Amino acid sequence: MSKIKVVPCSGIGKVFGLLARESVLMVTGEKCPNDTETLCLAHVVTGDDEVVGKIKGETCITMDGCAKYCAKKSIEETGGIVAKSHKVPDFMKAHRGEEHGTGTYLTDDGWKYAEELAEIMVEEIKAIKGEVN
Amino acid sequence: MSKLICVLPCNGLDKCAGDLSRRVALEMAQSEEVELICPVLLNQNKSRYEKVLEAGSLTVIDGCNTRCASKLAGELQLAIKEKINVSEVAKTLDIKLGVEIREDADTPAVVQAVLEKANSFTAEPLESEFIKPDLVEYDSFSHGKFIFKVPKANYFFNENDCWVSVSGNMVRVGVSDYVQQNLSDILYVDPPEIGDQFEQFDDLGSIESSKAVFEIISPVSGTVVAVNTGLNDAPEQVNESPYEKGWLVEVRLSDFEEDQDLLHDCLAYFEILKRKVAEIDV
Amino acid sequence: MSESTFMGVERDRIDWSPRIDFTKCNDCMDCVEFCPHQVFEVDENAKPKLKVKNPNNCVVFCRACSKTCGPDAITFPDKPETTKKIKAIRKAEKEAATDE
Repeated sequence: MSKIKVVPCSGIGKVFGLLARESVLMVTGEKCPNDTETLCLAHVVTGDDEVVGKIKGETCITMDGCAKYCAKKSIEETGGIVAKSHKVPDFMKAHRGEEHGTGTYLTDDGWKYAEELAEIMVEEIKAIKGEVN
Repeated sequence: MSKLICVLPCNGLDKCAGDLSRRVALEMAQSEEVELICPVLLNQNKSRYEKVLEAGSLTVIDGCNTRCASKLAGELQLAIKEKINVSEVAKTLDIKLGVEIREDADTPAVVQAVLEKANSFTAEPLESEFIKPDLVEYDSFSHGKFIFKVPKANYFFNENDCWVSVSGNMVRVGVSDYVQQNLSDILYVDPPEIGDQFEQFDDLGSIESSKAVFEIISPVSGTVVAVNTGLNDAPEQVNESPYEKGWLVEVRLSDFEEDQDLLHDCLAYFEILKRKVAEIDV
Repeated sequence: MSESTFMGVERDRIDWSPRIDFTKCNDCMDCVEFCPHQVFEVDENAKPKLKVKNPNNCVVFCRACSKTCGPDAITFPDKPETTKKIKAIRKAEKEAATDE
């Protein structure tokens, strides 16, 4: 099975976009480097051949910063199979009142939250791989 | 689902309100259908209560507005069925709690009132009698890069930018497009309690984004019959559809004729909003 | 901002602003950070440091800051009383207008 594509959104103005990207990079760079890879959402949107080839008909997990669901929608429209989709605010209740940072830096609480999001995706990746094997 | 009720009181050791929370919880725990949850143990080791929390519904008793018990339940991601605030109940009885722990005539009065409130929750929720309008049409105006929309008819507004939509004796309350745009992505919706009776301009819960907290100021007086529970998991509906899917509270009216005197219809609110936006220079 | 009105009444004729009980206030300043309308101000050299600088910026009927105050040091005027006063001013103005 080819690597699962884990794709964050591009949201640059708010901390949610940064949380989405950092959590995905933890997954693809540290926690599950052999089973996952990430790619640039902008390339998906511009229809870059190589990137489109990587996601068409392939299993993907998306992490969006907000309810606009840019990553999820773009991947679906390009023919990717979104096995799991999330948005950062989904898990905010447990982190109410915390300061997570800005569009360009994360606080300690922000990093902890990013790690939590990464772990959620790691569990899903394990489950998906479990089904395949 | 069993009739088991888990009761989580706050721990306020040094305040009258915390003492009353504890008393109420102990009273309730006398029933076999009630499991008492110690907040300190819950915080230390949630697994000790895992089974009962799964089997029953959770009632939280906060002594005061610091809401430690509610916050603890929230941090542990427990679904709260009912929430009671002892200080709020005491206020309705015109009893001032103060800080000193005491045992006098007020004590059983407050405990009784809180117990009654807890018992009233176990009643079945009423079927929604509110009939949604089929199609809502909007008027809009722009200011700079923003576009604000207001329904053309059948909604009334107070000057706190909250709307009410009437269906016989039942209404729904929500916030206007102006509010959701100001707040930006809404993350939390804190609804009022079902059964709450209130006057026009009382607060009916609040909504929160990373920018600010907005208190819902009720356009009408009445009783809370239902809240939009879908907003727990999808608070963005208030942003996406502030006048329809993003409704917040359903209310049984007590005196709409009196209330209406101080409300604006759609056309009037449209003009008021235009002026407001121009003054603030969004 | 002195031209602003609330429900047809000039804002500076309506008494609505936070009252701070300094026996309970613990100087946490959560209220200052919380209020988006700049009602509060901190003066490091004053005692107490916290001040209600712009009472007429306070949105009539909003009590959000008092909900956020941990020690419960903030109170507001009674809402039904305030409503009554607003109604009375509106009635008086209406009558004055029809008299002319």
